[in-house]
Amino acid sequence: MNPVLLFVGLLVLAYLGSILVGGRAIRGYGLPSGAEYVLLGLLLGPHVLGVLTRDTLTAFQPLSLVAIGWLALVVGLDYGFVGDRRLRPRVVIGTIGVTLLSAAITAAAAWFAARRWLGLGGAELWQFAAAAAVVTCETTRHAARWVSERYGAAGPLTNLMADLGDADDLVPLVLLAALFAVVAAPNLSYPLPWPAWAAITLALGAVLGGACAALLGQTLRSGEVWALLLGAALLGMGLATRLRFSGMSVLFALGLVLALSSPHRAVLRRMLVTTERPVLLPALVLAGAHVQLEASLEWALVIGALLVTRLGCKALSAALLATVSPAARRGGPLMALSLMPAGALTLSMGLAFALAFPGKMGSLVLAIAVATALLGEIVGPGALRRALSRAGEIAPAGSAEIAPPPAETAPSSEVVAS
Amino acid sequence: MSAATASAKGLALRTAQVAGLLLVFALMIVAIRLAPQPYGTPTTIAAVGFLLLGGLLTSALCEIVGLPHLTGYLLAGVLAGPHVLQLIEHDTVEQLSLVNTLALALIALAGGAELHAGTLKRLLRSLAWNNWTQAGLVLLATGAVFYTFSGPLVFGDALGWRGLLAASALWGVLAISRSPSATLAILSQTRARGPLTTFSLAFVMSSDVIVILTLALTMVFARPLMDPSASLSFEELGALGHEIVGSVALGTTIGLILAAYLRLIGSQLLLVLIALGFGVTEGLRYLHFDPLLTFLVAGFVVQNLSNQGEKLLHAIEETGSVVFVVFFATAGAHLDLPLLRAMWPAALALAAVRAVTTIIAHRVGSRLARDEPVVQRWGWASLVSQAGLTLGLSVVIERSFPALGTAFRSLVIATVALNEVLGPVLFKLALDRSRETQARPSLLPGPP
Repeated sequence: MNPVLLFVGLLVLAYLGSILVGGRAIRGYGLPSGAEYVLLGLLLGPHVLGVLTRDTLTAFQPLSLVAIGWLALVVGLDYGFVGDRRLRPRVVIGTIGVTLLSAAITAAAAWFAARRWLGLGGAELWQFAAAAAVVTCETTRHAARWVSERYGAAGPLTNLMADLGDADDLVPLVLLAALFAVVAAPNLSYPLPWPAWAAITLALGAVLGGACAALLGQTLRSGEVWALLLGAALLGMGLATRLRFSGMSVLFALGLVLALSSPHRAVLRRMLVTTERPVLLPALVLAGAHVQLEASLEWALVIGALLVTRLGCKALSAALLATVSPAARRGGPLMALSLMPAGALTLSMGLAFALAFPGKMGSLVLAIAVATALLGEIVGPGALRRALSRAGEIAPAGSAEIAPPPAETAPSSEVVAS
Repeated sequence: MSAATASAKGLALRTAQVAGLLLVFALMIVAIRLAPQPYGTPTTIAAVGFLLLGGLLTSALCEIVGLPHLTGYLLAGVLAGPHVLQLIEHDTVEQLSLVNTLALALIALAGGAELHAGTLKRLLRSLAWNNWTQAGLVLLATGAVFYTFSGPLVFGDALGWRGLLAASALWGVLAISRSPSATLAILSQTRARGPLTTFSLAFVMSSDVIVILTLALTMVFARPLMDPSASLSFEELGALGHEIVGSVALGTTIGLILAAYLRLIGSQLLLVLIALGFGVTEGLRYLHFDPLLTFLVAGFVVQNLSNQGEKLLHAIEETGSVVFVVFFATAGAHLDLPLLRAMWPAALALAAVRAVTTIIAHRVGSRLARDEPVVQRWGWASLVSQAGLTLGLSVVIERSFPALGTAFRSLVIATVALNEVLGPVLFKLALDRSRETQARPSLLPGPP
């Protein structure tokens, strides 16, 4: 396929994405995980219709990297906030702890499954286990937002689910930094242990974020803000790619530090949130096209084992949550399934891994990410809706109206002067 | 805010800019030291990011000494490019040339949208006289100097007098080409308004069409001079007619569609402009139409056949604030410094002759047209810059006349390098002196 035509096609998708963000009337439609775009990519990819060939995908690799990096930047800038509401520190710390526990359990399951069914060993086995944990530990931020936008849900449990979806993003992105650092360390000309390189990965993003905040100063000029943010994001992603660091982790740190140190956090957040969907849809299509359908029984067993483990981890998380949160108790037993949705971040991390480690292991990690997102899509939103209904946070059918758009997806015209 | 507070904040921002620039260079240098052989292909990502940040920060520092932003972009590219610090490799610079496609489309669209039919009508006499004197005097004078001095130095006796005459005529045509991109970039930065601004825009844009026509005509006559066995053929003029008519027709259609989109929907203009820049340009290449002319006409149609011109210009300005930095910084990285070092005496002489004759021709044309005093005095300043258009035309000449070899194009590149660096500085100076530049207002951030 002519690369220019593909590029224009991706721009059309980005255009559709921007309509999904901008138009209130159709907000809340589509799937929260964006799985339909992954399936579209799979359909167009080299394994089904062949519209997107392997050469085309290679040519578009920089675009894929920039798109997933940009998503991480938006996640970083938005981290710790739901709309304009700041998350309580104990919610953040608690969520990080539970997510780390989930990641550890999943990594252990992946380790045993891969050793038994794939015959992996040594460093490769550890890397696979860590990567599997990274792409199965988070709950997407979009699930709670989707249900609240579509069904007008509002209340403590809705807020709690939104908080959990936001706060757990830090864990996989930091783990990703460590995972990439392990692989990068031996290839770099200056010998340092991998934890140091992992710290440097995050420090690179932090330095760029701090520099952006300092350069933005007290006044904002529209064109310069975009040039500065785009320049910093591309430089961060480009340097990370050169060094084999995790670009997503670099840009997450960039966004996080920028949000913490700039007086313009709210304005910047609103500017960038409007770009998330337009950037995301083309990235999901490209992620889908990268999925390999050379699945074997062994792959199916490993993926199945990890999905079951994820379900178990989410059940454990829901049980822990119920002990500390009355709102979670009101959601009842469906809370475990409500935590299952995974989405753009999981798929992006799967794609990042597949691009950085081409071959069977990269493909399998991407396949796990896609399977996680699909299963989450099937069971998650419905369970969440019922849990919220049970908690009395969704009005009965017939009396509900579409809720007004929440602050985090407000149109850009609301951006105010600084 | 008191003056002291404002001054302290200004100093803090300048300090941050210097520190930011050093940081950006340091990060690139350290990364290259740590991983001399990059893993995978996407070295372009870091290069674009570096040029964007480096260009932006260098331009902010250039502002302190009154230099245009464009000079800062070029400087950042030159410093980082393959001939100085080697932070960006030659192959990467070539890959970044893709940005040119989008930048040139935006430049032409903006150029067309800046042309008001009423203004053109009012300036018709001025444009006619100035184009006539520029095309006549500059072409003849620079051609004559090339024939007498530079040509023999570069080619020796290889071409013979007839071939040298043809090469001189082609050189003369290149000498009357300008840089619409540099003109627009300076005007975008300074937000200048006034007679000099209006004249410069209208002249540079209209002279593009004249240059394209003159080159086609010159090539018709140069071919039998260069190759005695070739006969005079007007085939190229026929092809040119097809190209011009097709470009104008398609440009009008695109302009009408764009105007309708702006009126009926008017959102997500960034995506629309990028799709237009890449998608339509690809189609135009297939059809052998001229992208510059097509987008120029499209912009002109939007401005003059609808009331959406300002909206289009604003969208281009927002998009261009990113694209133009990369475009000019890439141009800086592309500057062939070793070649310039080798050819500087000939290039400097030719650039000087071109500049002097441009000034004289402008003074003559402007007096004959009875232009306003400020235009008579400073109107030449926007005509010195040369960049992508001239280089593009030199590629056409090189392909059409292989006998000229690479020496001709090398001389073009060296001369353009000088004009590219000096031209914008002169134009900014002229706008400042004529008091047409405006202070930049603080803007609300919004998606581009």
